[in-house]
Amino acid sequence: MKFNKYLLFMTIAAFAVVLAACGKDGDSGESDKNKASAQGAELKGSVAIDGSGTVYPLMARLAEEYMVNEQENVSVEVSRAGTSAGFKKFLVENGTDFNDASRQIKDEEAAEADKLGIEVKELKVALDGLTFVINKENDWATEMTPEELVSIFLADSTVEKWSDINPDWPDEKINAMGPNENHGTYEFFYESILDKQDMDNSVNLQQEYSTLVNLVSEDKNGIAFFGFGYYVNNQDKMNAVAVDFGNGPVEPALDTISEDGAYTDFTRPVFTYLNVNHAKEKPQVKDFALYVMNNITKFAGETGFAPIPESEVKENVSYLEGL
Amino acid sequence: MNIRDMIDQNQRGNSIRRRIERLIPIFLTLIASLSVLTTIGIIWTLLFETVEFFKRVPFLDFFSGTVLKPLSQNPEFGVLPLLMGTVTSSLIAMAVAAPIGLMAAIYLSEYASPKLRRVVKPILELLAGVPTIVYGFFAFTFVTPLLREFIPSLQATNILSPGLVMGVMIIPMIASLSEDAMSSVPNAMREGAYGLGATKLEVTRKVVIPAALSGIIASFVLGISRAIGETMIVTIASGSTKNFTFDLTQSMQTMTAYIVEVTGGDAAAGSTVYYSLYAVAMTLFVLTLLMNLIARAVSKKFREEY
Amino acid sequence: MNQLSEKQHIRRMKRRLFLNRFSKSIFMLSAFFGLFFLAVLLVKVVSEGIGSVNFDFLTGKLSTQPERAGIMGAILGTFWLMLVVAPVTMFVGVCTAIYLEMYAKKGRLVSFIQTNISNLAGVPSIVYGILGLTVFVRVLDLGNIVLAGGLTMSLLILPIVIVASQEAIRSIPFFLSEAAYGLGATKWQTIQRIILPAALPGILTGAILSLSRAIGETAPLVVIGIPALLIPFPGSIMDRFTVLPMQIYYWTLDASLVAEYANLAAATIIVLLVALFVLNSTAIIIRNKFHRVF
Repeated sequence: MKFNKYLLFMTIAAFAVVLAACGKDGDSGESDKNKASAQGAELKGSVAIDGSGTVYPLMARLAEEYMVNEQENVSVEVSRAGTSAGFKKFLVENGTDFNDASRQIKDEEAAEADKLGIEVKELKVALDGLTFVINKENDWATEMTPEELVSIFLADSTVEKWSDINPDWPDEKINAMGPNENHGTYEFFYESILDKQDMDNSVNLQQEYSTLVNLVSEDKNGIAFFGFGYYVNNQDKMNAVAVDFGNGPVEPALDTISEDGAYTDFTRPVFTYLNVNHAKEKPQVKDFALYVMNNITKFAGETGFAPIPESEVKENVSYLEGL
Repeated sequence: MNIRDMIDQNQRGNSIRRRIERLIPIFLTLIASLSVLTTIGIIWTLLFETVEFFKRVPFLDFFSGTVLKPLSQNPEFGVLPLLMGTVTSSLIAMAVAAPIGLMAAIYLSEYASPKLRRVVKPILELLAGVPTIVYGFFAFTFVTPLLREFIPSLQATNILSPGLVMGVMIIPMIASLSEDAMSSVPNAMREGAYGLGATKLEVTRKVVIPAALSGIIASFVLGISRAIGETMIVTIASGSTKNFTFDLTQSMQTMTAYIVEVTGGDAAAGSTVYYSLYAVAMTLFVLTLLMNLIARAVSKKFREEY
Repeated sequence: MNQLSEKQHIRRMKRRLFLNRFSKSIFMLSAFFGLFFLAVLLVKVVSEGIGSVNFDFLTGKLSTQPERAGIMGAILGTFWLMLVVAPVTMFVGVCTAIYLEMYAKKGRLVSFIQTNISNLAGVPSIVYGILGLTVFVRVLDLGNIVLAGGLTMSLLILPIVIVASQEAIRSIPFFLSEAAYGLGATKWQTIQRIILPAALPGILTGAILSLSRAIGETAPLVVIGIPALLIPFPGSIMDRFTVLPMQIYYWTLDASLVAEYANLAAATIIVLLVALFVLNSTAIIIRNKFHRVF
């Protein structure tokens, strides 16, 4: 019966194709719990989020809580290509629904949105302190002024070794690093702190924040900058530089990076940008946006962000409800 | 049902069958052309965007530039840092895989009993079956920390560790291809040398290896090609620093890791960064294709000898 | 040739024999080095990951919290991906092999196709990723769903499947098909009823082995773009998905952020390796059980 075996195989293959072609929708069929959403309805579909790696931990946390506690059948997927890269995925036909950003949207990005007819709403989600971190063994550069920090990263500065900043410091080369140009954190640093002066070619720019964490924790002469959240989660591996803005050194911390905290010069708001067209078309997008705004204060601290004022949250909530 | 009907039916069936017989070759030819289409597809996707890239960045600048800053405000596109990373990691890999792979092949072909060979060969093949992402994990979380014990200046991401691990991954490929070449050397040649009183080592060194040389070289070339195209190990364990350096303790980026970085950021169509992705992929494709063609030419020569 | 004194001769012979023995042990060590490396790798992975492998981990949903993260989504994603890859590669691979072995006139065209196939086998997997990204994700506008990933993977392993199927068909002795022709069977009937059934075990073995390569392949999917966090389970080939290797990739990268991720990566590796081991054992069992000597 060789022929039968062959027939059986073909049947199985055909069956697989058919099965694959008409798979059932998303869920594995275990949700019979009726959970109320903000609108009290059971929602379906997906929400796509990309963008800033700085905001990623916060949004991933929110997305997860939303799916576990609110809407089991909505699929919220979160990626972290970086702010600028994320905007490129956001500003296309059928792009992502949200783009996390650790800087404000640029004029050319806004113009692109207009051209495509995408209405964009900026939602401030939290405050983040740009943190400079050094190796645990580094016991000299624990306090610096903004000017000293800038001199390390500038292209046309004379600072190459620690001793160039302070003669008492070691005569060793500084290994400066940071996130690459895909990231809003880089752009914030370049625009607001370096004042658009060129960054030194020797600065080691990385795509992954985890690589930076690794490099700093292994390198006695390393110094890197990134969002406060990445430092909070890795305090066992590195120290933060206390910055002296003129009134004594200030450590970045949840209370100093708030609205009027002492670390405010290095503090920036972080955002998520909403595609309003999608929010109008897809109830799950609007629902998730509301969820984010209503719960942002709860999860911000956990992931190393300072909360934004309650009034701003309320403003956003009422805007979203009016959609 | 009478006889007439049966004959009619049979003829009807036959004509359908004849038609099927005629159609099947045509259908199969169409399906078989898919593999050719794939090649055309690869070349077509790479070519258009690569040409576009070279309209923006002069050909010579690309291949002689030592600075690669694809995303900066005034971007520079020199491919040399990537070529450096690719060549360095491949050379490290070959420094591990070529000697060990060749010696393992000698052992399997000349020394091991058939029974032992049947056991050892599949185990070696297992090494080739381990997904590269697993090697990447291993290089990053185990090999790098281990090497740092001996080389304190080693960066947390460096080119040395993925290169070494890649070498281990390529061992089975070189071992099995070289072993095939050595096994096909006629026994009469060995017997002749034994008759003159040579030891086994001398026979291997002076008779078998020279006779199987082109097969062995082909296996090395294929190994290099495999190393050039390897992605995950270097992406994870070597970081994305575009260093143009000879220092193995530093992080470097290979062409493959660059492709991962740029697509991970999903550069928008139309930007130079986006086109650079295709130019780098084209370079990679041409390099590996050349290697494969060289390997085939060399081993063809070898097959003609015996 | 000058006369050697006996003493010199003996000394020289001793040296040659010693070298012979010494090098033999070096060669042996080389042959077993790979085994040793594999053992170290497995010990390392198992010791890091085995603590995390439990029922909850295997059946749970993905999470940013290590203590509640599970990989059912990645397991299902891998499964759905295979549901695309297996039929497509089997069908196209076997058809191409039949054409090349049974129908095509041996000549320029066949050797061109043959050369083309072996060149395709040498193309780096990441280049297939770019092909998939350009053709399936962008031009056909599928997005990063199972179907796009599956078709990309199919193209990647097709050369291996074709070559394996060709070898299986080639190993069917000539007299079987001759006998079928003698009984008046047409060419297609012979292929359908004699050759394919006889070659099936060999074809299946090759197909399974190449599937195991597709299951462990990461680079093309990284290029196509798989979300870092995707919690819902995929339920069809039109859904977005993640697979085991991608999960290993993200957890390995982020291990420096959350130390426990290294354990999760190792645990996922254990699951992946077990799956591959089962698959490959199946292939070997099929090969041995149905291997007929004609």
